[in-house]
Amino acid sequence: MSRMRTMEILVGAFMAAGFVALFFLAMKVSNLSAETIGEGYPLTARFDNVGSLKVRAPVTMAGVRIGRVQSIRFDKTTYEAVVTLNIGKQYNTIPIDTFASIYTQGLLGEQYIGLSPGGSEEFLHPGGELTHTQSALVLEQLIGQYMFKKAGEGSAK
Amino acid sequence: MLDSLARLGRSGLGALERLGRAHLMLVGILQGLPGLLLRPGLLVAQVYNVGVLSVLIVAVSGLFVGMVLALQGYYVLSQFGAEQSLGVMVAASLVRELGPVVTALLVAGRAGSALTAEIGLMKATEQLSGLEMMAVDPVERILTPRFFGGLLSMPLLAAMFSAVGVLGGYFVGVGLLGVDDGVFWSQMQAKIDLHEDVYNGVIKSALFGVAVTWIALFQGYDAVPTSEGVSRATTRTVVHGALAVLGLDFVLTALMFGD
Amino acid sequence: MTTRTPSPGMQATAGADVLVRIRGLHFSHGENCVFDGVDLDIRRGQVTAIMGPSGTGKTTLLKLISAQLFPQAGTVEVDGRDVHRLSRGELYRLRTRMGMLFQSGALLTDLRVFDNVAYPLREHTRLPPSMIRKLVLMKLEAVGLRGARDLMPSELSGGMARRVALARAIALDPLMIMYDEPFTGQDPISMGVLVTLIRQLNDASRLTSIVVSHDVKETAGIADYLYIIANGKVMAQGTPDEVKTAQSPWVDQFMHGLPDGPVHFHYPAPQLEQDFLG
Repeated sequence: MSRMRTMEILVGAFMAAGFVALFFLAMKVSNLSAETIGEGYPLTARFDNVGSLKVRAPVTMAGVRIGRVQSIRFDKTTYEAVVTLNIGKQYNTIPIDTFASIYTQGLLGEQYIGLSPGGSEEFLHPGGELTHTQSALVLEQLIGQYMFKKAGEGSAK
Repeated sequence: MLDSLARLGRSGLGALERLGRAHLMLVGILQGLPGLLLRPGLLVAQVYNVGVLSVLIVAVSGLFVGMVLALQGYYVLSQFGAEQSLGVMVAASLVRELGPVVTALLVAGRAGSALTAEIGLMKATEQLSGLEMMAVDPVERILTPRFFGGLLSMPLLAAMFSAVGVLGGYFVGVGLLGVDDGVFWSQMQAKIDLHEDVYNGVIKSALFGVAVTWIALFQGYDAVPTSEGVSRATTRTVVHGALAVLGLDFVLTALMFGD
Repeated sequence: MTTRTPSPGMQATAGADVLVRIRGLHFSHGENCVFDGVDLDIRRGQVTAIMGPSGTGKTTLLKLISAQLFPQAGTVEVDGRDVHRLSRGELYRLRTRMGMLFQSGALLTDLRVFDNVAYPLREHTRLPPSMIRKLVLMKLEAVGLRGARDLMPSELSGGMARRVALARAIALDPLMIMYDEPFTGQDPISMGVLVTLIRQLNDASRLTSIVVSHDVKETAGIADYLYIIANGKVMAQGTPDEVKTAQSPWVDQFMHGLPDGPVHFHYPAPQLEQDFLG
């Protein structure tokens, strides 16, 4: 029966190796380690245009990721996009006049929300709203503006 | 003219019949699960046959695939000045696609054909009938352990393939081609999502495991019990298994990674 | 060649109790009609031989008796119960009371001889290992292979493999044993051994034996009753003496192994002159 025992040992080693590989993939390859942000609290922000912002996009402050976009919905009375942010519990000193803007990673990359702190001494509580927002820059609008401006300069001459 | 139509109809009906038998066999296999849990030794033996004995080919293939990915990827990415994304490229390709798919193809060839031959031979030498006559259900005793052995082994093998591949890509990318060590890993960790990529990859390989093992077992169980019949069944396992994996991969990728 | 001594009280006539009763059996495999209305009686405690030319479905008959195959029409009753109407559990219980010796032995190739014989005991009884060991050795002793207990099936000769399979078939002390072509391809000594074993086992354990074969000499030597099946029907039945002296030219050709008779020597072909001079 020692043949059975060798087999059992090898199968055990196989399964252990498999789990180690999965663990490696989870920890070193995926964003699991960067994920662990603990519990969070919700904040909302309204935008005229969220561009291509996606759910689970990062929310950063001073370049450090402090949360994620939890949901995006449309307000049909004010025609605005209402974005719910999930901010890590430990980041509870966000002033109420903080700016929330939608930026793009690189030139053509993913869009994310960057927070610039305001000067107020009052902090946002769970469920609070960031009232100062700046919508995403839409490339076509920029080009249109540029062309319009150029045309204006040309006719002014 | 009518003759060919009749033949087409007959082969169509035959194919449907085979499909039906394959499903009946699968039902029988699943019904054998309680019996299998009483005899874990059988499962251990099959995880050994399918899993352990495939580790070498899977690991070596993974290593080479990862290294080639890094090599090819570097040349393409450097054209856009995006060499630093090499880690992401290698990892994403492996975890999402190459890990599950190539592992499944390798297993279909190595373990699948062995399973088919073994069962076909048992059928030809009347061992399956013998078990029936001893009032032992051959499906429960022979097929069920092999099915679950394959199902269990596949995701583990795919994970090993991807892990070894990433390491291979690391050695080539960072070691040989000069990509920055820290950037290699940090970009990868930023972009590869646990749920989207790793979990989906595992689910894919589990489903491939079901497909490959099911096909291998059915071909053996349904084989014509002669040496020619068994050899044809073995070939069919590899061919059908490969096609099934690739077809399933397309469907799953569209479902998982589409929008 | 063994001389057959009829067991005491066993007359090879309808007087003995019937263990397997087959009535009106119709079975087709695809387009071929294998059995076209067959009636058989297998009597308890006797060796009944079923003979006929190759390909007449003798193995199929055994599979029909053990309900591995289902007939298109007709009934097969074993010990008074219709095997094709049994539930799965009942059928499996019945099968533990039947032993079958396959043509090639059908031993499990990854187990030793000992474990092969022990297999049905370990499966269907809760006997302790020490008891099982004794039983296995007893069965192996009965077939003369107690010393081969640690060999693997691949190390056995054909004849030895069949004897091990026989030991396995009697492991659970069944009601009856079915032998599928036991004499095919055996050398004279193995043949003699098997013939002796079949008869001795039958008488010693009060078994019922069904021997399917086309080996006339050996089979007729040990059988108490014969059936000859051809073209899907029973062509002749009776004790070996009765059948040997039957009036049918066909039976005559079969029993005496004559090359030409009702079953022609020449396969249908055009006239000789046409092929050679045409």
